[in-house]
Amino acid sequence: MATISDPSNRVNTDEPQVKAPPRLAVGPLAWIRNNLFPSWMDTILTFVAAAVIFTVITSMVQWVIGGANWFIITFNLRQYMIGRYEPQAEWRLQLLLLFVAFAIGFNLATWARISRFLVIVLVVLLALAFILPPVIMAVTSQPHANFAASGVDIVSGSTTEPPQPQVGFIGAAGEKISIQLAHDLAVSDEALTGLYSFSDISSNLLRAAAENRLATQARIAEIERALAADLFTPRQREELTAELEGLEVPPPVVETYAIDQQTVDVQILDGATLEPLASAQLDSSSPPLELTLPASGWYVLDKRVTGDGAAILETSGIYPILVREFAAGDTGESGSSGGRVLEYVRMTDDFTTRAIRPTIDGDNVPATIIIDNQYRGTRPFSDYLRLFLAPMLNKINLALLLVLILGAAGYVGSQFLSRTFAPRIAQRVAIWSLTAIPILMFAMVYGIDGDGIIALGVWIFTITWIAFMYFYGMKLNSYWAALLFLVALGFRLVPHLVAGNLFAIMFWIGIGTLAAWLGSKRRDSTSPRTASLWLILTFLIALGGPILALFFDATNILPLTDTRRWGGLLLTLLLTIVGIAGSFPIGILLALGRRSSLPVVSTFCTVYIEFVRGVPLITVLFMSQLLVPLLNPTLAEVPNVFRAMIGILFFSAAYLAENVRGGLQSVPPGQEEAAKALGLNAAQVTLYITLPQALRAVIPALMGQCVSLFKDTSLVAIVGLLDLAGISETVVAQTEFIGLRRESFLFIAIIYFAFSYTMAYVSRRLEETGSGAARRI
Amino acid sequence: MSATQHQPSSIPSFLRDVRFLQVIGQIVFAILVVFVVSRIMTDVFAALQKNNLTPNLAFLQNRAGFDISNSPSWYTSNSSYGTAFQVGLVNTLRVVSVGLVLSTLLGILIGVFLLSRNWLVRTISRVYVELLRNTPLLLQLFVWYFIVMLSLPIFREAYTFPPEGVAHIPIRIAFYGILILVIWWRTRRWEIGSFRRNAIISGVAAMLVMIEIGFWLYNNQPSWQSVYANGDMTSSSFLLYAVISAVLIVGAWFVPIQWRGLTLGSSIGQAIGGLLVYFGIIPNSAFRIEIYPAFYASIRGFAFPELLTTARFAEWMAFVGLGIVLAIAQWVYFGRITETTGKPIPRGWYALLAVVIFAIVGWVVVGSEPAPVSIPVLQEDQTVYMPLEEARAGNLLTIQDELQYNPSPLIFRLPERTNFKFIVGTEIQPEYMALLLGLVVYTSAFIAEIVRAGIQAVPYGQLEAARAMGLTNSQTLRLIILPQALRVIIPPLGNQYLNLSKNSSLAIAIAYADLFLITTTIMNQSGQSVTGMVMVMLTYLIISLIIAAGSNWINRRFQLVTR
Repeated sequence: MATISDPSNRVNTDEPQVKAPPRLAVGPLAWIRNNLFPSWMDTILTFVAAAVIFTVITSMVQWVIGGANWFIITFNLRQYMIGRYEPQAEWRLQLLLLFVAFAIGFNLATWARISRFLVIVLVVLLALAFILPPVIMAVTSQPHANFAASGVDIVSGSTTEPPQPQVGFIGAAGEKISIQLAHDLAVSDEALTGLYSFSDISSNLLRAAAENRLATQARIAEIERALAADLFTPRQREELTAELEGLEVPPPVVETYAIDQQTVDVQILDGATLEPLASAQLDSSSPPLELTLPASGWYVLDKRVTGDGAAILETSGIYPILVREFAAGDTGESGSSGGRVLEYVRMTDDFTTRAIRPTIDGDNVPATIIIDNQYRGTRPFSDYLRLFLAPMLNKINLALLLVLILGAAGYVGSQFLSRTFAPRIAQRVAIWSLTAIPILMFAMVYGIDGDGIIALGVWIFTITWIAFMYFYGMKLNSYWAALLFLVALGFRLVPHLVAGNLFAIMFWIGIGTLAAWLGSKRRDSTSPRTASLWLILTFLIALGGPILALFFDATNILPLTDTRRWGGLLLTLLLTIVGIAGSFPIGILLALGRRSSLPVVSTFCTVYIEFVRGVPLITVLFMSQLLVPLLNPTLAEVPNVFRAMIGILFFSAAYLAENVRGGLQSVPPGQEEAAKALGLNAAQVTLYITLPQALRAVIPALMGQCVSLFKDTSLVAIVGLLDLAGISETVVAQTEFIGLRRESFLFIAIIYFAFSYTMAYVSRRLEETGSGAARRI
Repeated sequence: MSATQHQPSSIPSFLRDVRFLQVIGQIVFAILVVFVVSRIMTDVFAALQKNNLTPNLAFLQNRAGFDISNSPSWYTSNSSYGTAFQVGLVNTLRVVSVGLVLSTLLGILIGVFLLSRNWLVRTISRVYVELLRNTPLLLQLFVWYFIVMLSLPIFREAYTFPPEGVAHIPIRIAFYGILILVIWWRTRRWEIGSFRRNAIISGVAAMLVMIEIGFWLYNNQPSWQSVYANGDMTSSSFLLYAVISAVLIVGAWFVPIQWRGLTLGSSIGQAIGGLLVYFGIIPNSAFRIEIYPAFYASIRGFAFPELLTTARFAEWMAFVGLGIVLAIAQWVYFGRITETTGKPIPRGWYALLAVVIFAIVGWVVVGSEPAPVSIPVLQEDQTVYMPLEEARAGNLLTIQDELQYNPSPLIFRLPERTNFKFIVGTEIQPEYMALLLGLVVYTSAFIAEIVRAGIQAVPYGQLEAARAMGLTNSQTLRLIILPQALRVIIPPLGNQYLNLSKNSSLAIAIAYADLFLITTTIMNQSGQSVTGMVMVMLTYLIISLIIAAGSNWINRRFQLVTR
């Protein structure tokens, strides 16, 4: 009989070997199986999708690095950002940008937390922006430039071009120029098609001729091969036979032009005196001609072939230039009187000279201007880095650094405030900083003129007088208050009395009486101490307003800018922010009006909202831009930008009203009933109970509207304003950058996407975490 | 008494009556509105009167005097402004109606992709949606027009689809098709991985591979010609092949049982395949098909095949109409039966069948009418009479003749071009295409998100319950998920339709002659800017109202009926 003590009868306590789960059940393999190949259909889809992604990304990268001409961005960056904004007022925008960075940092810290990942990404990007340019400069060499020299005309297809014997270029003192024959290109036509880098028209024509010849050869072979097989319809066969008869292979280009087989006389002349600085007779075995430029300015390269043939010179240190012409004084110089100024800017760096272009026999020497000396051929990666990436990073890295520092300062500032004092204080500052952005933005961008300051002072004066009377009414009996107020109002009314503006007089008297009456009603609920405090405060403001106004008028620190010069991203953002901020109060009023029980008001609001929502924005803009000035000459004097702003504002208000109405409907009716039961009046119920809840509920919808308004501002380009989309069209229309639409569109698309995706992302976070409760971004 | 202690107020009682105040307030408000509006109106009229441009509608009768590219035949530059306005309206409706349909289809597709189990597909669709939603439509239109449309090749070198040429389709493809269909039909109920199934599927696969190898050898290496249809049973290579095949087949009996089906099937299959080729049982000949392009795309626009209605179209339509009537009757009748007995009847299929049958019968009946024996045609400036076939062979028929005498109710014609233009084919200008593509792609991103949200709004339990009840996947989708998702989808979808119709006014950016662009031209020429603007706004308003009314109607039909 087996007992418990019998070891053979015990339960086996040894744990069985735990088997690892199958490879396909956990880990990356399982993920791949479940997410990429869950079924036959999905497997096919995965392969198709992978092929699509691969082709799209490779062709995109190839184009960005090898094909695109990014000079259009690096050279017009300022236009894309701020249009033709006055350079002397640019500091205001910089200040504004820093303030906005600060406000955003502050608000981030107050309402949310930044994940460590985001901080690391930002810091790494910033570090790259600073480190990359010097590294690129050290590692890569400047691309070379090709020039053809020839005694004969160069022909390719229907184009004929005689190479210029002289070509002018600009250079800085101390730069090294070297010139040699590009003998590796002269081996064969195949080698000649490998010509790349900056090339003048004639050297490019040589390349085109070689390419043409090779293409014709290939085409003939292809047609002959294809005709042998039965692959064509009779119609096609006829066409191809006709084409074959018309094709003829030209003789090899290298032999026709005897490229690089003669000696070339090369001279470098000083631009001003035309004295030769260096000269050499170059053939394919001779060492390069080298020269260190003695001074900054113009130089002329003189190149002649002795025999009957062509040569391609490979030079370094000579780069295409951009000619800018503008009215003297436009750049903010003092003392210049009219006339046009020519400025020459080198494309590869921003070396600029205003030296006079050299002339020979009274004619301007042909220069290495950008249109003739484009980058041709396939661009190697190092040239991309050297020509585009490094200059671009150099232009933006300082601004990035400052923005990030200010943002960080705001972030730390908010944390400091909420730790030292209370989160409530930080929140209040955050709200104020946000509200200040539209006003400050407008004031900074547009400026404040002296008359405006005076008007503002008068307004402050008026308003504080009303407040003064209100608080005085608290201390005094209502009749006395009204009397005093009338006296005070007398000052405000004098101009209207003189002008006999009855409407204004009625208005001011009405306002005044109301203020005093209201003040006297609150007499019992306010302690005399508090009332006195307010009294003194308002009195000080009443005095301070005009004094400040006079002070500002004397110094005039923010003169008005020309609205026609606003443009680019600045205008887009301005339209968006002013549109949203301005349409907010109107939209809320419309929403309240539509839900009102008063039939006249609700009908009016409904008709307005539905009408505006039923017509396209472009019709509204068209009306504000082209119809309004036609109908009313006084309105024609209002700048275009402001009229567009007002159009956008009234358009956006209707959509905002519908969003707010949705929020109002989501507030349970019990809230309103409870508030009424507590004795709140209609205005109090709306202001303190329904509206806050309604707005909180529709924050995501409002953010969505911000995004769509931001995108819709691009429509102002159609009515002639130069916002981001409009400026892109003008930039592309310049002769130097004609045909570079892709680059321009890609660039502005990235900007639009970055802004609206950020807004959409924030809105989604708000939605996910419950309105107003996002805690981590 | 408490009543007497009530303090008399200095304000008269009616001033404290809310109803009275409300009435007064509204009157004041109304007066203010009327005042402001009338002030604006008087200003406007005064300004216009000064320029002799009092708003009126009489100018619509005046000669327009401008050309519209690709305008319909009823518009010339001598037509009136009113006609030009109509052209604009038609052009706008052309874009909007096609755009609504296409963007819905594309949006649903992308929306389903957004919910795909496949990570790659899901991510690509997400990127698609985010990229399109977060860039302005104007920019997208610019890209479609200036970059996509204007980089199409010149007219002579237009892209064509399908590419013109001759295709050789081997006859054996048909054999393969029939074989695979039969196998699928026979084995579809068999247990996956069973001996018979493995043997048959692997056998057929091996046979097909062997046949293809044989033909490849024959077609590419002439010295091996003997492979195909040699049939010489004494050749040494044939004997070697037969021995190897026999060894393989015998050897397959000895592999472990779970692999036996596969090995046996494939060894027998390859042997049969090889023999079929060797004895020439499967022909190597091919159908020769000349392919002519149906679609052309060039910088000048797109060309599609055209569908023309002949003189007999009306007769055919009578048949189709009969079919439709019958279909409706069926629909109603079977619907009643389903309602009363609960018996499911696929009435949609029946209705479709009725229409199709009547259409086919009608085509046969109408088309079988004898062609006229002699028709008048112009030959060398004089009218001669000859049979239709002869005239067609002699290339004497004009398109009008063809439409009048061709017995079939519809004629389908591929585009044909000369060096400069299309002589046959429906042409679409690049501006239209750019606008349509821009609107469709942009709106589809929004619709995709709506569809995704709608489907996700259906609780997962519904899906599980449907599966538990044994519904098939398509039934689950059709009867459980879609009806519930549509309730969520339809209201925002209507909004997107409204947006699309309004966004079509961006046509002005790429110079497509839509309502807004043409009215702008009219306004510039006639000076009647206020009238023009009001007309445009009212037209858009009416289009919006129609779309809104339609979507509300559909919405009501799909909403849950409660209480």
